[in-house]
Amino acid sequence: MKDAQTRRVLGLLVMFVLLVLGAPYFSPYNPDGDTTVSGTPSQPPSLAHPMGTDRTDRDLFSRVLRGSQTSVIIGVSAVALMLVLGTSFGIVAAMSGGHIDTVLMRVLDICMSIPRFLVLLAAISIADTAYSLPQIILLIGLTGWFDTARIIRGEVSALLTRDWVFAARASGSGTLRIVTHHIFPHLVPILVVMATFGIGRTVVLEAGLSFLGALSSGASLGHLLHEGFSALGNRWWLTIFPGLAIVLIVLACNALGDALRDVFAPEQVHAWPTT
Amino acid sequence: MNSIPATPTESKPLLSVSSLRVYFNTPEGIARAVDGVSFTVSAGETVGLVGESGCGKSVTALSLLRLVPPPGRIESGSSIKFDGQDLATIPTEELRQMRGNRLAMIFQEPMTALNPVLTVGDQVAEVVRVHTKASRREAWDRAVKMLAQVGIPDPVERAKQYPHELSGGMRQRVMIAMALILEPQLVIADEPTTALDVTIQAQILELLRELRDRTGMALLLITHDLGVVAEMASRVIVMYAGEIVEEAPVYALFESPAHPYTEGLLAAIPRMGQDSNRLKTIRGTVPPPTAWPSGCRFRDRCPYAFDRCSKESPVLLEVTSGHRARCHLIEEPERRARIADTNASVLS
Repeated sequence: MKDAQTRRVLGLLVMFVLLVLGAPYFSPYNPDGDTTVSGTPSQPPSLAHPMGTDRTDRDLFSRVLRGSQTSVIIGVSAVALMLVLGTSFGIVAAMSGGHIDTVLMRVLDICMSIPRFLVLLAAISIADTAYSLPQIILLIGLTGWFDTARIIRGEVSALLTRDWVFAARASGSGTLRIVTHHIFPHLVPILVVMATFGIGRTVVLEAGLSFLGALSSGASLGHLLHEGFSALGNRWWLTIFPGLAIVLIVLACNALGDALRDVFAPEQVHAWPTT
Repeated sequence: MNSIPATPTESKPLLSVSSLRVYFNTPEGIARAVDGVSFTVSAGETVGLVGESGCGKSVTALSLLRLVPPPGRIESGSSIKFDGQDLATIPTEELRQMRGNRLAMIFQEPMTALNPVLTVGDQVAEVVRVHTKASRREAWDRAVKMLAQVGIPDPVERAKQYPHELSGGMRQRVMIAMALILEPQLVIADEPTTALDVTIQAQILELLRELRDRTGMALLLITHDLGVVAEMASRVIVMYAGEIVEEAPVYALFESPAHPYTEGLLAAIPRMGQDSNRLKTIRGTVPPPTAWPSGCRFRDRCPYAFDRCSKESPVLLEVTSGHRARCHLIEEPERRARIADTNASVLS
């Protein structure tokens, strides 16, 4: 990616992050407000309400800002959980080696062969009530770490054959120290890049789940899509704007991921799957 | 430069390896990389371990610290006695406490044996941190002091640099600092100068010699370069195909090599004023460790080979005191004389 392009993308991203983080302050109106803001519900976009209002007369722009915040929180938390689980599993498998490694990797193969979306759908349909925010994060995080584990395990296995690992062992460093001191710094670039791509993917996944009614409180972007979908024909803004917000988040994450991938050892990183 | 190699000050061996066997399970069969090796190193002594690539030198070195990577394993029955303890069998944690502390290793490739993401000061200080209760600050200060001792100019600044910012020679000095900072009793140096320029090689050898003389450490010097051995070692062990084929004081080995392999190695050193146009070599290559030949493992490449060599594995036989070789010719010396008369050379 060209430098100028990188800067532009990063600038956009910074703006977006500020907007989302500052949502409560930026929002012209209370996103959950039950007080009417215009007097007439379901207004199309106007200067006063750049994204229109919904059928209970709430300002959609405020709701999209809040929704983006919720979606990004879910994305970041779930990805953090995925990376912690995947990295730990991958490191343990690689460091154990031999039969333990083989068994752990076969377990991983089994986990990966189960379609994730089906599991999530099943979890949604089993539950009597919709899930809370932490439950959704847990659900997405627990079902999403298998790729990470596989990549990290491969990476660590390769790193373990390096001469400097032998040199560290030969000077008396223990396994724990070798992992934390010597191996982990090599994983950071990979993890950072996986995190950025992962957040984008998770936001889309969460939107899909919320669209199907998984999330109870804290309207995420998927939730907004769900609300607006039934009126797509006559109140298009209720669906289009939350949808655009999702696209923007994902594009920003992918652009950031690309940029970071170029910064950290491009020759080494380009081989990874991005989706 | 050519100081007389240090002679052992005590006769009680510091390191005593006996019937060391290191096997690898491979798809082609069991690779017997090290196959019944026994030798000793006394305190303060420098022993050279020489041989071609693939003859088991490096695996021997790694196995002394029990660092042979899987699928390699030290077979039961092997014993590596170091200062009264058997490194082949002591618990991993006890061994870990000895590595870097009482016996240390210098690796061949200073380019790859330092972690590229850590500063060199960090890596030297880590050895101190692992083995002593020194604080981060104290360990760092000791590391800087050690870097100065191994001849790194401006060690305070250099310690903060990453390996790629240093030249090959400097990196090898860092490796030496790592190995020697806790003044181990035994240092295993696996081809410490092979990856370096000739001028740097001499400097590194000089440094090793100086540090050895100052600390009184024993040095097991693994190399394929007999010139290095001549300069540094008092005793030489020659390995071929996973076995020791000759062991002798350095002068005896150079003056009267008993094993045809050693003879070949010595003759392969190019000399000024040599009248032949071609460099001399030993014909053939080291066979794969999954298929050592029966009988004498060198017989396919040996100009003196006779029928007994394919039938009977030779044992290490004493030539003179302290000089042993694994060759039937020692019992039948007239065969060597006869061939030498007609053929004049081991070499093709």
